[in-house]
Amino acid sequence: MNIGKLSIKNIFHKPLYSLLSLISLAISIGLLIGIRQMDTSIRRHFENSTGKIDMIIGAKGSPLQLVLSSALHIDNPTGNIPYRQAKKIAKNPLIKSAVPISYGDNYKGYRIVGTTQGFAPLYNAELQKGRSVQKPMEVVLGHSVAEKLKLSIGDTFLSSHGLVEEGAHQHSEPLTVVGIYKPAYKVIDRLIITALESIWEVHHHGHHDNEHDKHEEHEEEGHEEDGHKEITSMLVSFRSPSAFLTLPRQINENTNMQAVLPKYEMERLFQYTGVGVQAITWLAYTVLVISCITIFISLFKMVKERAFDLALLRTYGASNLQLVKIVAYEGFLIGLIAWMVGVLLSQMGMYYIFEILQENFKQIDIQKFPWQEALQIGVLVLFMIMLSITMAIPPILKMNISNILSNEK
Amino acid sequence: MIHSQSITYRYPKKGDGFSFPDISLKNGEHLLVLGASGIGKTTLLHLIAGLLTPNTGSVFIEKTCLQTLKSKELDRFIGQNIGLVFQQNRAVTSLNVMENIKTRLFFSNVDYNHDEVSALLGQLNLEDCKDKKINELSVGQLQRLGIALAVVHRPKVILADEPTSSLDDKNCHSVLNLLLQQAEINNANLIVITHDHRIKPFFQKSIML
Repeated sequence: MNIGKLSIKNIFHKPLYSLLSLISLAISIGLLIGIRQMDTSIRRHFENSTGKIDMIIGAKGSPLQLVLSSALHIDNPTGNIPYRQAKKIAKNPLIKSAVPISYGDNYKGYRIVGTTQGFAPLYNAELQKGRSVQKPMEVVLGHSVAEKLKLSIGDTFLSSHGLVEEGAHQHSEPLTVVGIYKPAYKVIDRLIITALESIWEVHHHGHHDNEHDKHEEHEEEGHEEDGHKEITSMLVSFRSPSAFLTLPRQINENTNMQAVLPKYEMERLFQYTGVGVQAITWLAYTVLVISCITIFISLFKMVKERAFDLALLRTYGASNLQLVKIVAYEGFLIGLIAWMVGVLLSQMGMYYIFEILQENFKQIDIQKFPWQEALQIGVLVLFMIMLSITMAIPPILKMNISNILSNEK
Repeated sequence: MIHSQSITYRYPKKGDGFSFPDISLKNGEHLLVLGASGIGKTTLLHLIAGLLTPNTGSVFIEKTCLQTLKSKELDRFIGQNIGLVFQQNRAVTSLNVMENIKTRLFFSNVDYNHDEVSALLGQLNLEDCKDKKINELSVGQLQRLGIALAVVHRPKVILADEPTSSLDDKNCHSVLNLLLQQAEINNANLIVITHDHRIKPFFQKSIML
């Protein structure tokens, strides 16, 4: 027998009460860790994905949709814009670089982006193997794509029309892997990069197979001339901050294209989701406080109702400190188990949620287990439990053994 | 061996204090303390047991004066040298019989010896309830467990507070016999305080408060 065992016996002496404290504490810990992990995962993902993109020029429509589709690659594009018009804007001296992108195809759910050599530097992506795209129908794979699809240099595959895996029409021209990027931990990891011409070419030939695709019919009319070619959007980075104020307005007012600032749109998005995160966080803190009160009541009840037992232990030779330890270990043990169960719950929850998310957007990566946050919450719980214990022990210290033993009934 | 010298005690906020006759027992000697209710019997017992500190005077067990010990040393000394038997015996309710015995030994800093404990439980007719919970015990079993918990660590002094007042004649005799037998085995002094005159014949030495 020892102090720890006595604490455990106390916990099992009132199993339902202990279980209540444990479950409510574990749920609040799980919620706190889970919500923070999810929030940072999504936030980091979004912030990372925009890379060095200061502005996106695309077809008119929802600005958020343009950001989601062209920067994060998780939504459908707003439409196409004429390449020539976009290039004209790119000549503005305030613009450092302007990278056209064009997309609409996928391979096993991974998006194929037609672009120029300027795309990879936006995400600081470097080649790990092979070379960059030099001819149409060559592709460089993002690191995750190569890893998940087990593709290597020299492999060929057929792309499918549409942005999701289920898209039925398969194109007939094979794409050849010529390079693989190093992990950049940004959206480029999950993209297949090719030349703009590949997209145009595929859709030009594709047209003969799908007569009913009206969009492509328009495209076909002048595809040889640069002037009539279309791109989905243009990713722009500025030379000077003053461009933030002037350029978007200029484009939005004077052309039939729209210009959006991804960082601004992202901030707006977080404001919406932030309310939900805040609400869940406060709810979790409330549950945390309630469960600590439950633990306090449980410990205090033990000290009060079982004063005779404790006095008895004192006559056995137990010191005050040992009795305090019995109570404290009980609290800490429940806290520790609850923390572990909470961490487990949060990870199971995260896994489940991201499993669902993965089906819709292949791009979002779950953030690695946030040890720092889990430990922060652990420290908070430790502090709350210490407070509960501190409030529960004064009756032990004030205990008059003689009095308790002679008033036995 | 136990020896007390001119001890007095006064409860805070209560009028008159108590002053107690000196007690002096050699090894193997037992004492009966008789007195009506409210005369301070339990107070005397708790003073000897070190649970209360006298205002004046001192208590010696073997050669140790309880009043010179620091609080932590006193806790340890009580745990190792004194066994208390209560009128209505209680044990720690979250533990079973055997766990109570082991807990007692743990706090008294005495190693668990399976043979000795089994022998003791045999003498007290408790071997069948080793694994029983406290609330499953009969009144008689609980009383005998109380005695077991008071003697299992081989104390120098066994102090019993009204151990028989709620018992019928037959049980009264058996409890006293057990107490005397355990005191004998452990070579301990037994001090019983009671208002129960039935047990007078069991003791050679007695004092009246």
